[in-house]
Amino acid sequence: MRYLLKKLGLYAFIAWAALTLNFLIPRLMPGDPVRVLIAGSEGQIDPEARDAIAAQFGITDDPLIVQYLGYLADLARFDLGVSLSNYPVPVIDIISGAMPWTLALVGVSTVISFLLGTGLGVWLAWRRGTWSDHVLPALTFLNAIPYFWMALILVLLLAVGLGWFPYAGAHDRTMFPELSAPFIGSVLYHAALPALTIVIGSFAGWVLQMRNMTVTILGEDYVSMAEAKGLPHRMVLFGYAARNAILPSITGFALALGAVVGGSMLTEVIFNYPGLGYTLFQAVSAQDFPLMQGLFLIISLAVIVANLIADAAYVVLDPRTRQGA
Amino acid sequence: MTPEVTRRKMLLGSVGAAGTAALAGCARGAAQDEELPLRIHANDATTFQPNFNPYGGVPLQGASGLIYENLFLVTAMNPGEIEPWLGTAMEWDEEGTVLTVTLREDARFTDGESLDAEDVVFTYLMLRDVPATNMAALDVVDAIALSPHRVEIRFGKTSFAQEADILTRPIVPQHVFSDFEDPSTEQIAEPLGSGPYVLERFSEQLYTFVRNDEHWAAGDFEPHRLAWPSFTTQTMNTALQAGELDWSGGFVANIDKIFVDRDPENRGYWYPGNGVVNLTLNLEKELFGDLALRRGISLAVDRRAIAEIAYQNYFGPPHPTGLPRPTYAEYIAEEYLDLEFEVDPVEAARVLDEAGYPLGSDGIRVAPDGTPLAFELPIPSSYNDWVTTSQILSSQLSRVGIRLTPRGVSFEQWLEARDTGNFDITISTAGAGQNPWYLYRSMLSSEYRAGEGEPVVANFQRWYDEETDELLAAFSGTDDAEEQRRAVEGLQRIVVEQLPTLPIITAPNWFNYNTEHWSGFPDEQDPYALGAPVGNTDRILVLRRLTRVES
Repeated sequence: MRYLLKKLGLYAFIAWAALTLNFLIPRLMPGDPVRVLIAGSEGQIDPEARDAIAAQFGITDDPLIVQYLGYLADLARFDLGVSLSNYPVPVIDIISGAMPWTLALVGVSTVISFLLGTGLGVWLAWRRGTWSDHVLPALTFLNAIPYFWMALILVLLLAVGLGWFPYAGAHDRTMFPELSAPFIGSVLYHAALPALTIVIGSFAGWVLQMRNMTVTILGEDYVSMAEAKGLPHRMVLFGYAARNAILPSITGFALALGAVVGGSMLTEVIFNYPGLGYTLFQAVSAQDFPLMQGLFLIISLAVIVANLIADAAYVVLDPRTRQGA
Repeated sequence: MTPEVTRRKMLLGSVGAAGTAALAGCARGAAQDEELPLRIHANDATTFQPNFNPYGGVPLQGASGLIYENLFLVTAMNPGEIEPWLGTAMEWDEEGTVLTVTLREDARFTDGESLDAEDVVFTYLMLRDVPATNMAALDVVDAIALSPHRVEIRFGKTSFAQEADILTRPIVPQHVFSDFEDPSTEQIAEPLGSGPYVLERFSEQLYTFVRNDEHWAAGDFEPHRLAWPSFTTQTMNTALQAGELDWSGGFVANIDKIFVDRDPENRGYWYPGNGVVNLTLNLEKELFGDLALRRGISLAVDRRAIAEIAYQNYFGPPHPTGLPRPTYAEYIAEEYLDLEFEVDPVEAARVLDEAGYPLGSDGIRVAPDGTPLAFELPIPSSYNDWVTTSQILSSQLSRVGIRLTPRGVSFEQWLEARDTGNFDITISTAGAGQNPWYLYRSMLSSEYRAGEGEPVVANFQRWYDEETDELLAAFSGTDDAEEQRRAVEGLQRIVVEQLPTLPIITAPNWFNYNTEHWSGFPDEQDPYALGAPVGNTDRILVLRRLTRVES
């Protein structure tokens, strides 16, 4: 219990630090969103409108500390401010609009990738020394490929070249979202290729980690003991070896789930998928500080919570951590 | 011309062949639909946020004009001509400070309330009282309802020149907007207007308008439904190619190959000038104060090559007066009608020699005070077309002994340099506005002069000249077309003779059309409006002309 409390205290501090950095960093960036907007319009917005726009955006020259206190007060009310590039839509609306797409796409593919990778890892470990070892170099190769590069190749081959998949968007642009078979089909169809990219780009890592851990543990004395006692292979593999080998992967998985909220930014950008990653990309290009702040906040909080869960899960799974505390 | 250009060009190879994928996705929905919607690309976005407030930030396209109507219809294609819309007649007083507008009596908001003088008065007082809504910077002093259908609007200064802006403010319903504490910060997801179209449905990838059949002019609009799908500049190329859009704005590289050649009967584009891109010499630097140096530089630049190489000949080189063609062609002074920029490196060298810029031993000319004519040219590295342009400029100027080194910087750095005057030479754009006065004012007016180190918002070459200011004032001080013409001619003479700015590229109005389902779009033969689907009133002018093609 004391272990968890200590951790909680630590995470509270980390969260505060993240909030504060989140406030500071955008303000240290160079640039002026109003000028970017006007220049981006290529002369179609009257330069005279500068003051009108600045007034709309509520850009102030208040001292930093005043802005900081205001920021904390707004956060307490879950008020993340108003987006500049989509003025005057509240940031929270934009984030909650993009969140489901990212959670569904990246979340589901991360889970698939973890289950697939871990399962395959255990199996490869058990069959070590046979022909299956030849799969390993291929996996190492997959693991080394940057996932955005994989995404580009897949778009080029499957969407552009062969035309099997759509190249952009979360669903058909002629449809409105509703609970109907054609719409759901369209969503799945549009998600297939980005999901495939993420799974292919990340499952090999899980396989390698799981296989190597399991192989190490299969060499342990207690595994030999179990085998010597004549326990069934299945029980030795899953009850003795895999159960211990999976511990580091669980931590990794919790962290990966935390990172889901950040989205696979490059994947989303390449597929024009309207999730959080793409939104962040847009916010940065438009110097939309409030939106950036809101996104960073959600992303850092998700990572912090995921870490906390990983720590908690460890306490449950590994009795040794309980003794240490 | 936007930061997207780089990515656009990069993805081009891949996007080029993607037609089949998009076709498969779209054909299902459209084929059996009797009332095929008019599909318009006007917003660059992957996802939409629901905001149709014409006075709040960045509203979605269509709100202004189609839902919230304008008093009169104007187009930069016919400056000075106005067509009645909500207003039936208008009249200025002698000084150009009081405008009286008569309203039509059968205009109604879609909730049944009638649109009358109170709403117009409310709208103009809002411009005065909430500066953030006053995007056209109108100097409104007061607005009074003379009768239920007559309004008087008073201005703090002579406002003839801004007539087009004044007459095209979207009129909002008082009974809705008066509840807003600050109309400029209000998000309006369900707009209530008086226009010929109403919002039908909204989603983050698509919104649709449907015709308002109660509207007094409903009979003039054949498209029953307008669909506004979300595309970014990258995905738009593919959609265009696949025939998924009837009407779009936006730059498309290799448009003939990607778009037109697939169906030359129906597909086309028309890019009339809508502004000018200038090679901008910082006139606050003493060196560039010398007209001979400016002339030498101008003579060495081959605008035709730039239009050909950097812009694939989508449009010709700019006119020496800077006036975009054909948009403001009627304003070009008679003496300049046949004038074109000449390229003459030999003459350029002679002018520079004579003015005391001898060639140095390294092939670079040296100014009388000993400074070598070697400059950096900062440009945003994300503007692919400007990068190409700057390389052409660099090689052309090197022929006359001037070294120009293009330096790609971040967009923000370039803005900073341009606005604070921390550059020798750069490139900048001036928009055409509603008449030549807007264009010349934003390029040449001293009213944009800022204090030392303060950023300027226009006139980036920093041309501060009394005669220019007088001519600009002469234009805005009268509504007599002849006098305005004379003022514009005077301004042209200054641009041609004194070269305060060096026009190098036409800034076009990007407009692509596909007449497979709908025809009647403006083009070179019938230039009745600007084609890009982003203009409040141009959009109405175009929509009214469209008719369904029987297939």
